[in-house]
Amino acid sequence: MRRLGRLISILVGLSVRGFFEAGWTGFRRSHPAAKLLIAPLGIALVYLHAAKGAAIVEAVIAVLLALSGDPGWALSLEALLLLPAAWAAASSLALSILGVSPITPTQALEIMLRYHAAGLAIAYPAATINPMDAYNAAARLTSPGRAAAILAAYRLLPHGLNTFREAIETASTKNPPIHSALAAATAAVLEEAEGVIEAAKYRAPRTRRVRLERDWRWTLLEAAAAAILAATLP
Amino acid sequence: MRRPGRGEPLLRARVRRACRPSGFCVEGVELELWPGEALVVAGRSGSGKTTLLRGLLGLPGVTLEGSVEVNAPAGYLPQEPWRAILGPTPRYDLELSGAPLNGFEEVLDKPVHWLSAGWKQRLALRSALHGASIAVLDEPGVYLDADARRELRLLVEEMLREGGAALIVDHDPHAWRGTASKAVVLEEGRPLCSGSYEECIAHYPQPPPPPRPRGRGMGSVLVSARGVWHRYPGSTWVLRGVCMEVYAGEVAAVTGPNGSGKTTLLKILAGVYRPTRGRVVAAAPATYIPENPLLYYTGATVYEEATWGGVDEAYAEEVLRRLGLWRLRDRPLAWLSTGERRRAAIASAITHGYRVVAVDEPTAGLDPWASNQVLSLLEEAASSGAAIIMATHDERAASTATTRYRLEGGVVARLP
Repeated sequence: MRRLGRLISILVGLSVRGFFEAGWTGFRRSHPAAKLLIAPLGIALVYLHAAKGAAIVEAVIAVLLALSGDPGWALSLEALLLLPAAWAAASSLALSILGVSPITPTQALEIMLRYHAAGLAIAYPAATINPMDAYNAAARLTSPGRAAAILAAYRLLPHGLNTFREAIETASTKNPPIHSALAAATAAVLEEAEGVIEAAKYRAPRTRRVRLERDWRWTLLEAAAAAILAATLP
Repeated sequence: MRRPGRGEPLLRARVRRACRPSGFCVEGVELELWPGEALVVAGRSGSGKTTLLRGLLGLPGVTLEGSVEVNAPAGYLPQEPWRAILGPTPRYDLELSGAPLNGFEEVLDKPVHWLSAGWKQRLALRSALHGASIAVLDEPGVYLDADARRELRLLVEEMLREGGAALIVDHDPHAWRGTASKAVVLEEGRPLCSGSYEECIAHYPQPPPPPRPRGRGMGSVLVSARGVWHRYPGSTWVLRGVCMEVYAGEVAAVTGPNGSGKTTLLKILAGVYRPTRGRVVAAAPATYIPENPLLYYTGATVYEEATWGGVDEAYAEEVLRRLGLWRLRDRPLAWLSTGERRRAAIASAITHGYRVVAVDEPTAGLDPWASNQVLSLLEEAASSGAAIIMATHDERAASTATTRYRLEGGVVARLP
């Protein structure tokens, strides 16, 4: 339990660091259109050009991560994505050893690279999107009060993850079955969600749309990244 | 900001009954709030303060019979102030309400979950109350240290000077002397007094003194920290060369400002975290009870929690009876009050034989009566040979400790 707890705690820490903490003065202020293009273009490139496409996606996004000036954030995101990629490669290799769809170790590495690249193409926009853009868009379609639900949900995500981490860390001293720690965390998160929704309901009618200050340097960088991916697509 | 008409209060309520689905009701409360007035609703835990507040605000879970006339925009700050924050960063949260950004420069673009409890409270106060003429505050001082409480009081006074009003639910009405002009004291759902602050506070039951630390002899060292340094990935040092020893039979209190690293120290002493540098040696099994005790539970009821993992049932019964929790044994933990949850968690730590118990903010959110029950329980655990380490910003709780430490700037100093 202690080791499993530590592992889950590290994963939750990486997720919160990777998806909720970085770029509030930089890439989260870029225009969302460019970064949203990166996901479909990156996936298409990995699908159409296999390892070569994956290498291009990795290189392009690695440049963006390096330019972020936040190595802790970049490493968290990379490390988080390495896990499913390594799992895909390892399970393919295991199946190969069992005689189901044989692959070579090089092919297993290629699987890992493609999974990682596709994951990065999805995770980059997800980790750098500004929820205020989604709020403003929804506020235009409905009303600022209703759109505030998006922000309440976004606020709850890191809080919920940290609650799970706290529950697992606490349980690591008691050594109970892992599911009971998760049950306690779920109860705490639900209680918290109820409180957030209640407070949001009260405050939401007085919220207004927010004029976002754009970072044009990052908009250009992400547009350039999308353009490179698009250019290598055919 | 809408201003009420002449001769019209900002808030007028005639509550015949405000009832919870459990059947508990608050009855016969009448109140009025005029510009420049602050009214404190006081009472012990379970007296109906929050039920009344929820009824007045029309929040779910309370059915109201009577009338509530709100003649100006109201802002609500719940007991857990971070629940009122909507924006992902202070900048966006303030802009959502159109509130000014000044005073928040150093944290403007930080994710909200990075902020200390004090900053969250300040942010929630400004953004949730901006544009409101009536501030409705539910136990606003619970998570604040003394400095942040002073700041809160100044903010409320500023709002009153500008013609606003405040409705404050607080189990410590004395904290509002000089600010509040009216009070309602509740007892078991009925107003014991409703009128001028000074007159009503005289009716408020005198809070009991905290249990006195027992002058028992201390046993062997159960946990020791030697030159402990700690930092989270990508952050600065939270702890810098901490050295301390906690003995069997000792209640040690660690105090310090919001965000000073008290919880981190507790987790390191309980073995939840490994220190980045230095060593922690525990001579006995250790456990950690977080500020939200719900996260401690393995079982679904008090009894299941006290007995899970094969604890001797007769022993568990004896402990629960001794700690006054036997009557709650079959109650689901989610239905318990905060104080009962904390007591059940401490009881579980005792039945499971932990001899080092690290408790985070054991009295947060509790009135002096409920707080005394928890503190007495910790005393009881220490008397049976456990080492208790609590992190607290509650002076009452700290005063019950046999040893006190102050944590500031990552450095721990033992107080005389």
